[in-house]
Amino acid sequence: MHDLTRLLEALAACVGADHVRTDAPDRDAYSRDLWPRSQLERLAGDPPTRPQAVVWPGRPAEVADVVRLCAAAGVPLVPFGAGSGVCGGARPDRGGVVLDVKRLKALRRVDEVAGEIEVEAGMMGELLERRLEHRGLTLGHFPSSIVCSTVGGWLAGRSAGQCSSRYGKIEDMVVDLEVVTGEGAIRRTPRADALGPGPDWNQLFVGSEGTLGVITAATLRVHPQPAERSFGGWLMPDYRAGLAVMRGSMQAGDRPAVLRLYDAVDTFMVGANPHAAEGGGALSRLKGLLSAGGDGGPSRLKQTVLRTVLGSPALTNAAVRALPARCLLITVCEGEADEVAGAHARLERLAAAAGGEHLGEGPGRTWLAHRHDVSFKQSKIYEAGCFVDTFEVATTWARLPALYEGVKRAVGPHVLVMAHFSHAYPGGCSIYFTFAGTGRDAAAMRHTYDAAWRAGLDTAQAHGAVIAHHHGAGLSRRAHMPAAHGEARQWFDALKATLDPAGIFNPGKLFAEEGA
Amino acid sequence: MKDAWTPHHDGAVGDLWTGPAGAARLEVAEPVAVARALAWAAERALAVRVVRGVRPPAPRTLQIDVGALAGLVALDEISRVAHLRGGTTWAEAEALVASRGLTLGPVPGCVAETPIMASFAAGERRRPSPAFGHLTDGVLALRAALPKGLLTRSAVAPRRATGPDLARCVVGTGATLGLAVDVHLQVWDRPESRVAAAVRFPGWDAAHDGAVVALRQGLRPAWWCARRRGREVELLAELWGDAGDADAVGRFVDATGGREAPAADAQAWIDARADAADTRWSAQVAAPRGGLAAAARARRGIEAWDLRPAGATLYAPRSGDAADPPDAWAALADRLAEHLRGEDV
Amino acid sequence: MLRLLDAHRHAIDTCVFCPKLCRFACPVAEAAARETVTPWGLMTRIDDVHVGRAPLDGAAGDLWAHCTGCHRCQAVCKHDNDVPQVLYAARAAAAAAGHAPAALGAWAHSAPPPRPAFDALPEGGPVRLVPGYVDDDTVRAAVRLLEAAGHGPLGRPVGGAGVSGIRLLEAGHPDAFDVAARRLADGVEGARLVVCLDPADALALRRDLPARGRTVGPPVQHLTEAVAGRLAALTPVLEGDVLYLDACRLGRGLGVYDAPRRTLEAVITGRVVEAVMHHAEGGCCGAGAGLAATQPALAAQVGREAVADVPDLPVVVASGVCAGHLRVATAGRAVHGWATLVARALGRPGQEDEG
Ligand SMILES: Cc1cc2nc3c(=O)[nH]c(=O)nc-3n(C[C@H](O)[C@H](O)[C@H](O)COP(=O)(O)OP(=O)(O)OC[C@H]3O[C@@H](n4cnc5c(N)ncnc54)[C@H](O)[C@@H]3O)c2cc1C
Ligand code: SF4
Ligand code: SF4
Repeated sequence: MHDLTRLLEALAACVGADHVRTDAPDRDAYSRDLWPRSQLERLAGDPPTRPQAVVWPGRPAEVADVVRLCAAAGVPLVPFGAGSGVCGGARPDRGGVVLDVKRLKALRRVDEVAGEIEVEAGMMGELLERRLEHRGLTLGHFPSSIVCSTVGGWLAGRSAGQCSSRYGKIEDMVVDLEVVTGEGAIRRTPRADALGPGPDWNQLFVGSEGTLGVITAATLRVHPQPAERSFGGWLMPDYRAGLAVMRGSMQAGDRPAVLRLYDAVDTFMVGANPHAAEGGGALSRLKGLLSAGGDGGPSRLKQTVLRTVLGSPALTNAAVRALPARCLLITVCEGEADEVAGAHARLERLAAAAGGEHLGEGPGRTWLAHRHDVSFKQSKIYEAGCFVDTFEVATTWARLPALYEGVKRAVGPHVLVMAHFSHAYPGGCSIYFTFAGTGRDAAAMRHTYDAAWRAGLDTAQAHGAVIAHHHGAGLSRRAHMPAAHGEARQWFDALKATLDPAGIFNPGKLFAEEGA
Repeated sequence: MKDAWTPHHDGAVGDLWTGPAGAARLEVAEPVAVARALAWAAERALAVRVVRGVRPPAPRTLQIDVGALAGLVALDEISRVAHLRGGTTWAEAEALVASRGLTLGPVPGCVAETPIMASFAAGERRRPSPAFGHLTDGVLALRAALPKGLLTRSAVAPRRATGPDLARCVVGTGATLGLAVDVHLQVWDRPESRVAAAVRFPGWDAAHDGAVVALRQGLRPAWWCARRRGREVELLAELWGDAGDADAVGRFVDATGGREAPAADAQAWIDARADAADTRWSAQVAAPRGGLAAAARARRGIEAWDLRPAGATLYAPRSGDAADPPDAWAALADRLAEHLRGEDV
Repeated sequence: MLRLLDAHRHAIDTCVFCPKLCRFACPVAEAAARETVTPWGLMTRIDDVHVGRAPLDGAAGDLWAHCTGCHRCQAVCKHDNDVPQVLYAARAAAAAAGHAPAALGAWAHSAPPPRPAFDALPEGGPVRLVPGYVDDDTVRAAVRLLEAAGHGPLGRPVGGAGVSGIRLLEAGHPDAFDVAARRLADGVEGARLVVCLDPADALALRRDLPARGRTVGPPVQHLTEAVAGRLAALTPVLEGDVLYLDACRLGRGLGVYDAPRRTLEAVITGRVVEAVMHHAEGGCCGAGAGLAATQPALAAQVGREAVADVPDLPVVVASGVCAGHLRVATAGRAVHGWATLVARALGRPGQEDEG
């Protein structure tokens, strides 16, 4: 206790007393990120994993001071962006000090000519993109959480935006990083486009989820706002036909901004299937319950129906199998007119060849206008005593169908599961599974939730897929990380020993600590 | 050259050759043999060099001959992913996939005979292709041998978010952190047509600007460079595409805003690049946008590669410049290697 | 008093289970860089207290003071959740339990500044002026504007200080607000038009009081609405461009965006420049709902951030209260109240009444 008091005094001396807080409301607010399991734990009445203190350094030099002080005291230090992570990455489950990075939010440099910006890690995504847009630029990074996440969080977790097939994931946009490493040094990594001998440090810090240092700023590539955009929508005979279109486009070297294929359930749920009347009864009710609008709060009856539907996943998933196989494919191409026209024309050819029914521009435009709406449904589901979560895996095109079918089969006994395919690359694609379930009480929900996750990740791994495409590993995938990396763990341990000799950075994340 | 080597047998690695001043040579045919070789070298504090064929001994250096660790393990024609063993040279790899109508993209002559494993270890950056990236960029998975004698594994996927990209530890790090024993690389349909284009500009920076405009318009040459041509600077490009696209050169010239020059120039450059293992290129200078002319003047630059909005990489003759001083990152890389070998740091 | 929150249960749950989808929009959370004071954080604490997971204590009371009532969160919330209303109920619970910050109560109960120009108006009359908490300069400018717009002669509401008591509601004293607002409503009965100088008062009379069962007879307008299109001879008084900041309660509250801009265009030689976010998404000066009283440094930071995108231009805001706060917050930057600036453009000599 005495040591903690001394540490807090020292922290206050370096960042200012206003920027060190130990009040209960702050410790509670920083006790979790948006990992749904934390929410279930909260509902079950489990005590939160609270930090002893939260600090808000205002400059990189203050970050370095905080790191030095925590290292000297041997106190865990958890970097925290906006806490929108969905894997428990920012959860201070060993207590210690949470370092909120958001006071570092300057847009330090905008170089329109070189197509680069230098931005501090605490900048909120939406605010950055708005500022760039104001200057005719775009980062091209649009995660659904852009409204509630930071640049540092994106980098720390290898985030992907909705336009990744054109602009890449965040790791593809990094030119260099400013990081504070474990001995309290502020370092700038060598530029990715001028690497000398030695590893590409950028790619070692990107994805490190706060375990190797604090990212304080980054130079990122930006682009002019697209001059043109084209929208496409097709109802494909089945998901395999849709995948063939996506693959054909990417392997031809085109870079459409959005290629998004909903599986049959998701197609039904987004309501874009003009033949949707064919939907199953339970599902129709579910869809009605989740549809937007009329927001007086779901009635008790509706909540009961939702719990009933999600409480019998086997039946509900069986109803799903009765749905028509047709799948909605949405495309957006953007850039200069020629490039857009070429990529769009190829998509039309590929979709026609694969038997797609052309739905015109509507689905693409509607998607763009409402692309963040789906996240608003989360509250309704939880309010009804159910849970919803997502996990994203990736593999090569050839293995994608088996992975998709396998995960659905494995998770199906526990939860209602649907998926869309997005984030396409020449060699493969990610699958984004959404699952929803319930249980008698919060403890039972947690049990079902854990079972669904385990089944999903086990199956993904058995199919040779990567267990995370963009949400990171945090705590939720930690148990599967040793199998994912095998002996490559040695590299991680060596990195940790090199960059974080005191072992304070976000301990126990990514990989469980030895002996823990 | 074999005379310089003496056959020898070692319990840990089997048959090998030794040479003067702690030189050693080992032929490997399996990934696990690479791992054993690395461990063996680590124990003896030997440097490691990956080679094909017999090379002269170098003091305190283990040559790992990977000639027997070559070939295509599998080709996934749906995903267009080639699973290649690390000892395969780039020229061999390209020939292997070419026979199935596929390509790795352009393979510069200066790397054609280099084993993939060695290119990864060296952090090969001499194919800055707008369409295909660097040779080491298109990797979907990489299995590595570690200095402690073990092998990593990794799922095959285009991107991942399972922590740092640990496989980068074997790119550009010599053999200090491990070696890539096999890789999954993206391959592409062979283009129906390849045409050369040459465009002239009044100077380096103007050529660079023209290149950037082309990029921004979505043009992605298979490879290109800018080089001095009398008083002008010439942007040379090879454009890969569909057979039906007759106007590829015209579009490229228009986009860059330069003056069209005889395509023979570009063709000559491409041909030379395809067979010349020219080491003159190896001095690389990163020049920022607008600073290319100054850098070329100062370093007697020959060619500018990797033309990108933020700058370009200038290739200049080796001038005997003092090596860059070891920086903080190099020190960290050393510490990393020491930790990996399990040494107290 | 926690029962006050029962009515807001659905709103609370909606936020608690929401993945912070309005996170970027909250100016207080952004300036504080603190998850605890995001709409999600505030509502989660309300939930914790409401269900007994956390105590109703001074820390909770202090926390709930972290909102300016700007409604930016609601502007992006697809549930249309009204976070400030829930917070005001939580503040009421805290106040009743003796855990509200003293500065919040003092702010709510403070008297308006001296306004001789308002006191000089006769009681009653067809058009009645509600000055709220704006200063005397603004009152004088408003009187000139309204007269020039043909609304004269002006009068005061009968009885009372010309405030709606909205601060009381915002600070968690709903009953006291009821009394004050009803008194004002009574005081404007029989008028042809009621003109408020603080958009907060207009909103109280148009929205909050009717929501509590008392409608106001005459139409209630903000000054910018009352004079829109009615000022004939305006001569430019400011060289160059200006940055216009939508006052939260005028824009998001009353839906008045374009009228003040049009008028402004006539009194400057340059253009009306928009911040990166404007109109329904416009920034917040930081003064609202008592933040400037309870957290002056944070409120000043909110104000600075609202105008930071366009650093070099003078700022114009159509609320005297916002203008006053911004002037202090941005120390040294030119900030004009819309009323005083436009009144100068009426061109009568000797009226350089810019504050
Ligand atoms: C509704 C919703 C939609 C989502 N959609 C997407 C999506 O489309 N694409 C996507 O990629 N993700 C998505 N996510 C996940 C999440 O938003 C991302 O992981 C995001 O990158 C997290 O950013 P953050 O600032 O909130 O980081 P946090 O959650 O605060 O932190 C994430 C991890 O990074 C570490 N960290 C944060 N900042 C730093 C720093 N400066 N230095 C070092 N370490 C740091 C933390 O310790 C933690 O381990 C979504 C989440 C939600 C709730
Ligand atoms: S106000 Fe709306 S968007 Fe904001 S946290 Fe609450 S529910 Fe989510
Ligand atoms: S009203 Fe404004 S200050 Fe209050 S919570 Fe909403 S956005 Fe934040």
